[in-house]
Amino acid sequence: MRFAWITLASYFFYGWWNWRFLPLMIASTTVDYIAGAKIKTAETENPRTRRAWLVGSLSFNLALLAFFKYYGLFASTINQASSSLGSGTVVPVLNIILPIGISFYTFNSMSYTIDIYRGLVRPARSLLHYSAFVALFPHLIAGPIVRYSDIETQFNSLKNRLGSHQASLGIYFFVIGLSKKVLIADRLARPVNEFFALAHPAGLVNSWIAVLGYSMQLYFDFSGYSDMAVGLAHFLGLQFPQNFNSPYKAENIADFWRRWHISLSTWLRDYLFIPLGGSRRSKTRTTLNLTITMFLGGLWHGAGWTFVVWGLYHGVLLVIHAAARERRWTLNSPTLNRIITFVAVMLGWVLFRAESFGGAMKILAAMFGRTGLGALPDSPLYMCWLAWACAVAFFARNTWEVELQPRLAYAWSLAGLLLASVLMLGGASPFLYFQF
Amino acid sequence: MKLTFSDASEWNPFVRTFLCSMLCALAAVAVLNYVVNPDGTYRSRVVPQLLWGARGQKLSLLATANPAPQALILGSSRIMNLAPTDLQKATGLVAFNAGVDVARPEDFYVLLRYAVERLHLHPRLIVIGVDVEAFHNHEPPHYYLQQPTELTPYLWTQPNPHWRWAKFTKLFTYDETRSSLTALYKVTTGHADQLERTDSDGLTHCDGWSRQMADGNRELGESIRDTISRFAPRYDDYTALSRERLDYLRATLDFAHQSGSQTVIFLTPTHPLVEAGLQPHGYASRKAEVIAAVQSISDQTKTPFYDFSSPREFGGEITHFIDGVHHDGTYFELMEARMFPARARAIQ
Repeated sequence: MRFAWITLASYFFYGWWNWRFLPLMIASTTVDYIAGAKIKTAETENPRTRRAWLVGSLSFNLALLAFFKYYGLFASTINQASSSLGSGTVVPVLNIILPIGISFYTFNSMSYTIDIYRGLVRPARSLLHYSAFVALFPHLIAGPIVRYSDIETQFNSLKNRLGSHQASLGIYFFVIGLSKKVLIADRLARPVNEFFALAHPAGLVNSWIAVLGYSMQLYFDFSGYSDMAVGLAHFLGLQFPQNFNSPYKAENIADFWRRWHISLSTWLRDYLFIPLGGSRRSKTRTTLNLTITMFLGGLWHGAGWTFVVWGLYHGVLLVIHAAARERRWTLNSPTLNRIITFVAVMLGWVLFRAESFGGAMKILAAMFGRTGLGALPDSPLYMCWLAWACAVAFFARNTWEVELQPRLAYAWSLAGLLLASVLMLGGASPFLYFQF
Repeated sequence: MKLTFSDASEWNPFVRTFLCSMLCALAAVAVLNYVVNPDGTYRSRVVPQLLWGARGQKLSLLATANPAPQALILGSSRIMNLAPTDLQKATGLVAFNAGVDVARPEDFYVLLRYAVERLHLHPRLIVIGVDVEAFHNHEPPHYYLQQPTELTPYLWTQPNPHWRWAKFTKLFTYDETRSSLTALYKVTTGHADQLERTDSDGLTHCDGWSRQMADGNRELGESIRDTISRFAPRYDDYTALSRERLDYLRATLDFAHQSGSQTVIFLTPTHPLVEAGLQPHGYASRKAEVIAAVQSISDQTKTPFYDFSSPREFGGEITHFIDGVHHDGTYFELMEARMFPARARAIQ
């Protein structure tokens, strides 16, 4: 009964945005559930049958992603190439709406069939169990990417009563996540959006401040959502995996990817990088594997060449880091390492955020002084918010590192934070990762 | 990190305390906002409404205006300091400033019909100041018109059925709480009569701003930047002129003429730096569309239209702006000189 409620509530939540895409998610769920069951039952039979079911399931999910997310990019790229050669439109341009959360739930689903194929998990007890897993509303639209293996045991031993400790943790994660979003990320959003909307970004100082603002906005927005998802999951009696571990404290780029959007980076590692051969083969092959993984990781974020270049940029950084580590060209100062890593990540965010490749180049040129020195933003309040955000990101313990105590002072503080967040909700903006 | 869950009862007080303090705090905020009721959204009238341009307040003043006004000034906060006495000097008609905050053409229409049909006023002149933003195609009517009020029967589309919910959630917003605290501060410190205040003829005095300007404490550059940052998202969403709002303007003029009133329209001024700052957000296109559309309606209804969007259009300097879109009132004398050059001969 509880699974039926979770599923219905999740479908209602999803359908509230656009009910027309609900059948798509139900179709994906059904196909993967059947494929998972078939892979399991064919375990003792012909391995080809198992492989065929796996390939069928993966192809279905990738086809969904390819059509809904990447068809537009494909069509515009082909048509641009064709028009530059003097031909007209080759591929019809369709006005396709991107179903919200499709990147997340297809990845959730793919990990399910792959893990059954690998013998890591058993198929879900019923279609209802599996539907509840795929549609689970806390993480449905912006992650974290939860694998069935993460919650299989929890699903099968779900308690009827929510304990006060888990309820407290739910409150803690949800309130901290909401306040990260509303009290930090949204305070930084307006000047950042204005800067990235400028046709001609002016000044080195302005550009660095704006990109720093975006770096903080993105982190607090996305990690805030992840914390809220963890909190909501606690209210349902489930524990989601950690998705952020103070990424801006990373001392190198590989460390950054162990701390940023952990559920995606580990997904790419386990289902793409390692199957490609990981780092067990030659250096050239490892370089190629890293590049392919990060290329696809970039493409996962959005159907745009800026995301592809952003992914490749991180691929190159990882290759450089691996080479430097092998030759022991590393610095002994953790602070310096953190600064270098953070600056490299910031430069990447320009590609990630800019509307076009040309726009990103203009901002990068401004950051390197092509448009003059510029000046600090006129708003002292904004600078205070930014300084506060930086202090929290660089020095404070993250949500998972703070050990919640059953003290009343904690309860009052969380109530105060929630009140402040509720009051500021009126001007809140959508979560940045909803677009992926 | 895998968490372990303790079933110890030591967590029960934590949950109870959190829930109780949260509910108490929310209730306190809601009670504060309901009782103070800074802009007249709720029934409470314990504290006088202090925020200027409240529709309810203007209706009360209009109903009790003595002598009955012969000229009505309609528009947004940008014309609320147009002195009715100056208009009277220019036209010879007793005037009332019915400007309200964030006014759009539906406000002009319902206010005029209310004045004529409910208050039985017979204005001989209607002066309408329109803003470029007044024809926004995605902004809903002011929240006052989204709930049943004295004015809403005159709207073509009746209020949003979710107005009760919107009214309820407004109790828990930062803006409402800040307004309540500001109002409360003004009342408790005796500043209520010294800051924004509205005369019986509807003229609003911005004494706070005036004092800041006189003391040199008002940073115009900061105000202009603030205006740009507030308006930029509105312009991003302002993709075309609202047909319905243009129809409301036409209907206002038609109704005025049927009631025997003459009409004049002017486009309110905007600081050149704000215009420049909003260029990337489509300001120039929207402004050109508004001028063309209002000119067309004016021609059809034989209403004089004046484009005063830039001070140079009426011979003004740009030094009288208080922020990006409001000014100290000096411009109105120049505008009136352009609009009523013959000292109301035609109207008289």
